Amino acid sequence: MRRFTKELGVFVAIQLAVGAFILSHVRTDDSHYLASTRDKHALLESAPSPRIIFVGGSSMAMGLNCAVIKQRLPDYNPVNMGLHLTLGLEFMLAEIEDDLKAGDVVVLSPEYNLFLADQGNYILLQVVELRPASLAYVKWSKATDLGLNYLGRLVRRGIKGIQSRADFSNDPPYLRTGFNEHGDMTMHWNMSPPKLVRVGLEFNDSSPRYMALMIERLNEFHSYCRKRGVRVFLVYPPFADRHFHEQRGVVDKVQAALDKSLTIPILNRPADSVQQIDRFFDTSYHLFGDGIGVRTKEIADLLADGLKKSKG
Amino acid sequence: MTFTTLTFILFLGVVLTAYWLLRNRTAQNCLILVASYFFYAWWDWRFCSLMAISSLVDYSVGLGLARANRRAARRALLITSILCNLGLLGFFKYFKFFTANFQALAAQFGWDVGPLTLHIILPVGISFYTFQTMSYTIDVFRRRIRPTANIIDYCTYVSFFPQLVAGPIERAGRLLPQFTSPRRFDYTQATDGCRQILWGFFKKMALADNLGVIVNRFYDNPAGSSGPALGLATVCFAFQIYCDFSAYSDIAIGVAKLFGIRLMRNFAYPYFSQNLGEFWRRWHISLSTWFRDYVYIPMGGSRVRPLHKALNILVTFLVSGLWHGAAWHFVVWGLIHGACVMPRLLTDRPALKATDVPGGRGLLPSWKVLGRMLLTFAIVCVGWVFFRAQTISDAFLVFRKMAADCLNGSAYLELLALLGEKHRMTRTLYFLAAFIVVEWCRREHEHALVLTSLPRWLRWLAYSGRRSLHGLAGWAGAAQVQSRLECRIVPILPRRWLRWAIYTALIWITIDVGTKTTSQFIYFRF
Repeated sequence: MRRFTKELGVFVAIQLAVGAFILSHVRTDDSHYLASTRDKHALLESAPSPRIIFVGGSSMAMGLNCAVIKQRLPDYNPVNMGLHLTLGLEFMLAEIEDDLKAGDVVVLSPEYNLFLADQGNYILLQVVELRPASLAYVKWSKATDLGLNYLGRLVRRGIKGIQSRADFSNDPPYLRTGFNEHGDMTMHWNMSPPKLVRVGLEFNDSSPRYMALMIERLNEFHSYCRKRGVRVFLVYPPFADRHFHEQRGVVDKVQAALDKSLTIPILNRPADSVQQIDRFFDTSYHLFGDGIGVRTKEIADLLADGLKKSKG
Repeated sequence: MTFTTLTFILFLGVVLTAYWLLRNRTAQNCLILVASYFFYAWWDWRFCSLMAISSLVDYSVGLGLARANRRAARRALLITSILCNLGLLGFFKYFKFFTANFQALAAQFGWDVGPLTLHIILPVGISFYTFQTMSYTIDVFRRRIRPTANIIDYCTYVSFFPQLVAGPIERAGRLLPQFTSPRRFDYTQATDGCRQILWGFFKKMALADNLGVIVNRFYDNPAGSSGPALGLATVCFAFQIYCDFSAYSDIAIGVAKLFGIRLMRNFAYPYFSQNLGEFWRRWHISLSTWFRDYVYIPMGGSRVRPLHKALNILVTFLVSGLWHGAAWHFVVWGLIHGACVMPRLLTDRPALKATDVPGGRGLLPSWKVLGRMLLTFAIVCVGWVFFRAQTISDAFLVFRKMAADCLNGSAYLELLALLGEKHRMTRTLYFLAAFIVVEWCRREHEHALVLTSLPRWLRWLAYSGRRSLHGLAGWAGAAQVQSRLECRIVPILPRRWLRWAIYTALIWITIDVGTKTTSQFIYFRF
């Protein structure tokens, strides 16, 4: 056993040396789209209460004009925390929980995919790397599961660094500078749209259980917010009409599950957030141009109504 | 807790350290038992109760069989064990399948039986540990082994975490004695275990997961994919499932070696088989031998008339297909293999064993052998289409597309263009080609990373490299460097450093190429 332990120790030391060499060449890219997470958190901390905090993926980031929300609801300071759907609902909720104050309002607009299956770790790893404090929002069991993925990511970055290759792809509008002072992505508003990619909604055997888990988490979040004097609302995400009708069955399942078990007030129905396909930028969720105006007005009206009812 | 995560590596480190600090066999078994239930509870703590029920029922049945002498009583005990285990399996795995088919059948006759739906979660590993416990009671019933009175030893045998959720399905006669006797740390076994674990990690992370990306791209949308693309995806799936499943077995066997436990070999280079009979002696060996010993032979095996024997073969493969999943396309997959295996089993006695070197001992196979291997691989791939497709109609769609596009040049060009754009896919295919070559060259060994005897050509390559550096140093006037590189007359290089260089390269390639996602092992679904 002594011989084995000794040789294992030497071998591990060699791997650590190789790893240290590779990792010493890791470069970060502060101009990447995901680096905006730092700005969003700074905004969340600095914006005075009461705030309206918009939570979701990139459909929220790209489909909202907070300046219009501010005009319509001048008593509130809007903060758009939307970033990327694959961060997962757990992460999105954990990101804002500790910063909530009495009087705040949270508007959730989770993409349908968030109820169907775990979205993987790739984007989560990048966000944690760009803002290490975000690791606190990852469940510890998932954090240890992420460990090898994270190491792999750093190794790939290190190898690129050794080869002097650019790491992050920085194509407009997906840049940190594409966001405005409220956290809205604005760079794409007047861009010519590229080819539209259909977002698939895959419903499989494990989806019902996953959906139940996510609804349970949302209800826990709601309960937490109520105790702190924070109001929470849910609004369905925008979706391109053609893709919506093709996948209506899956959407109906999500809606049925939410109607049955969710305690958070739902302000609209899925069909209300559907818009014609030419108002979408590059995916079924990403609005641009007039679509953003329509969506923002929809949310502002629903919110004004919802706030009035919840006060009464 | 998936093997290929940091969580498992940390868990293993802690358990292994504690294990070898404990000198007492019973204490070691208790530690393994607790660790195994913790490992299983990581998925869902509720699953532990099922495993505990199965363990306790079969432990009690084992003791009962030891005391019972009357045939009727012994039979009743055995039936209790089988009903309990198959009952658990049937409920959790097949309830939805049978009720859906019953409803469909009833609807044919105009009967509306109403909703019979229950949201049942399939507990991970149930198909494996129920078979393992059943084999214990059946072997006790047959008086092949004596039952154990030590409940800790027995429960450790059932729940041993390396092989708990995806096999190998062990036999009590092989595994239980290892838990009832003291273990000593064996350096050779432990180092080989580490190598096997590394090879498993490489196969899973660098190969299987990346091949899965190619497979999913085309099989998730067969209607929108071309024939050549689906053909490529089918071949990739063949290797994805092989690498995924054999990787799990390699890691399980390797981890067990670290504990001083030997698990049975589960894969013996199945894609180098020359016929389907040989394939099934090399693929998922623990399951195929289980079905042979507990289904095929009790039905009469090959000691019956040819028609009866053919039926036995078909039933065995049908049940094997159903074991893999509660869906008709798995049943079709099983029946295809049964039908293709039948001619060989009906006419010839199997000549090759799993321990034989597949494809013969030469460096290159003969044309005849290569032809047989490719034909066998092609037949296996036909079965894999049914296995991977979501439904039977999807499987037939895949075949139709492959047939329709087989002479469509533009479909091939389109696929080549796609591979040209997607560097990750192309890189995966290069790795696959290299993997096949490595497995072929190392097929005489239990796994490809048995490097105790390195090939002569590799040692000469390393020696030539060193000799070149020696010459270069002399030309550059670096006398000190040159003297350090002095080569001996006999080109023997320190094997350990060459092996460690290979292991190091493999580790970092695996981390670089294979860790974009943490995906589950395919056989966890069964």
